[in-house]
Amino acid sequence: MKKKILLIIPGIVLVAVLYATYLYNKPHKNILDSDADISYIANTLINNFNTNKITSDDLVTKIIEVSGKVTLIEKSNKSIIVILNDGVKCELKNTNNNIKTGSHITIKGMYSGFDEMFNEISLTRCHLIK
Amino acid sequence: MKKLILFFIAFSAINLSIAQEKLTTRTGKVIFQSKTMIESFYAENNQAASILLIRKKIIAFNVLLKSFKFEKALMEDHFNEKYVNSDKYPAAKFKGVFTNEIDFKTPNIYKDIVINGNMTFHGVTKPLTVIADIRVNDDNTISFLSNFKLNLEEYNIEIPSLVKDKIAQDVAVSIETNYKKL
Repeated sequence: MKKKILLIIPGIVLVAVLYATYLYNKPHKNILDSDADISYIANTLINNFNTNKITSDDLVTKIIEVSGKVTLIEKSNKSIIVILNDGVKCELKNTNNNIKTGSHITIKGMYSGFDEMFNEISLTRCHLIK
Repeated sequence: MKKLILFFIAFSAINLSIAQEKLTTRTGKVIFQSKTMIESFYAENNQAASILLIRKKIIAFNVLLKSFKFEKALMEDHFNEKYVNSDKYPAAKFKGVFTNEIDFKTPNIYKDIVINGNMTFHGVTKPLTVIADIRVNDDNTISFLSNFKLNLEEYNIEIPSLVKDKIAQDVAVSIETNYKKL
């Protein structure tokens, strides 16, 4: 009996340690491989947001796919910010891509809030779909 | 013809000076870090929004907390859910004024600019003074750099007692933004 307990306790500790290690090293959500929770045309998303048909609470922690027209591009060393239809801000990793102002694109990313400074719906960790 | 060119140059100069009162960026970099003997964390946000008003000498930042990236996904979740409660308080905001005379046309480095303002973080607004460097670069950009500390307790951020000794009360914040002149 004592032997059994002596075996069980290290077993539990081992499982706990493994689980903790797993949690600690849990990878970031892979947005590219996950299905989008919601898809929108940029203008519809902006209008629905402005008229409170959609609120921040509806979008929080959701993966959103948006298509629209590129109205502004801002580049930095680390990332590219692309604005769709003057109202959706998407942050893409700074990879070489051919996004140009005026082109129509579809982007998938994680909703990160509403930027009150420029009145833009903000998406982070975005990927260019097409 | 010469007159026409001169007129055109003068006209665009006027246009520029009007357009340049407000400089903006959406790619500001904000780093949060805390180091103690036992646990340290580092988070980077590369999509801070900022406005710099040259004549009014106002600078403002709007940083969405969900855009901070941590090395570990678990830390990112904890940061958002347990510490800053970003579902409820999605943004950290700072707006401040400075009094120094800065010539935004000529390349130069202005060190130790005192900026007095208000910081809103975790739903709490407090006066905050930060020291910054403003650089007028020769490639038609203006850089803003600042390092300061935020005391978590002052913004009602509770650190679970279990890890209280492990996490520093003060979080070091560093901001780096680059504004393009037109």
